[in-house]
Amino acid sequence: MTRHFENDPERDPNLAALLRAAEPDAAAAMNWEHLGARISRHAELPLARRRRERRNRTHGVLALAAAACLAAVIAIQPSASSLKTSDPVLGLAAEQELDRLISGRAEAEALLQAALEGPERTGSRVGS
Amino acid sequence: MSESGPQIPPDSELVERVRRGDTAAFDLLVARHMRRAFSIAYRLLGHREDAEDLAQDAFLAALERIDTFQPGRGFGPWIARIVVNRGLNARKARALRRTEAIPDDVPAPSTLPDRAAEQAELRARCRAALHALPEQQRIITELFELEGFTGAEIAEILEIPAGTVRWQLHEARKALRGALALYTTKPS
Repeated sequence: MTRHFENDPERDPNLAALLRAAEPDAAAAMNWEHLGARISRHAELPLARRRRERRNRTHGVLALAAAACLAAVIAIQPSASSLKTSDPVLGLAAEQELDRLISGRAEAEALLQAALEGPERTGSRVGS
Repeated sequence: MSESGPQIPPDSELVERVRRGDTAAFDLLVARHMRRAFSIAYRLLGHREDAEDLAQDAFLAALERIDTFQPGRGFGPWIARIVVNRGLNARKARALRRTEAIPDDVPAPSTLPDRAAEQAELRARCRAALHALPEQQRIITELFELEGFTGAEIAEILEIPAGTVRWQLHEARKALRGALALYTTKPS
């Protein structure tokens, strides 16, 4: 690159002045603010499109990362997928018991006992 | 107290921000390169409104293709290349529609009548000499002498070897100095 600079001939100010004289000086009569604003106005839409595309890309990557994390968690915790409906924890999720738990009508000890013993024997105990 | 004013971001940084859709960065790039883009456009088209349109089109085309811009290269020559390419196409299209005429749509500064006549003659001679050059030589001369681009940058703008630029510039100068000998030896 430097080599090209060195090989450039000297500028000729006299010739440049003559060439400038050949054309009217349009730049002198220009309203640069107006032209700049005009270009910016036309660029608004493409720039907004770029921002949106970038946002979408970011969201896509985040969603993908979240999905990957979830898949990894499931893969390394096989017990989570092997839970049966008869398991005590799921037994607790029975609608009535959950209702009692939330409403505060069930006693904490009874709930704990129900969870430990399983769904078969929970109904009467939690309700009592 | 800081010893320097606000940091002026380089073009490469602005381009990176424009890629992310940063409006302020684009406005800065436009403000920085608009005058030269317009000037080149005006020299190609010879009409102010057409030159404004061309400068605008060039910046919007640059925005559209901003992902292809190579950060190691200058933004100035890149936008100039877009202006020149589009300007030449516009000239060709216009030449098909009408014979070329360069209107003086900008009012000349007020001068005394004899001085005005002298300037008009000088302008006519210069214009004739310039337009007598082959198109590529004329563009190279204008980019070098008037717009201040280096030979390497002109080579990039016109996508020709730097050696060709130097040779064409040499030929153009020789022709212009011959045609304008009276004025180059006795500057006004």
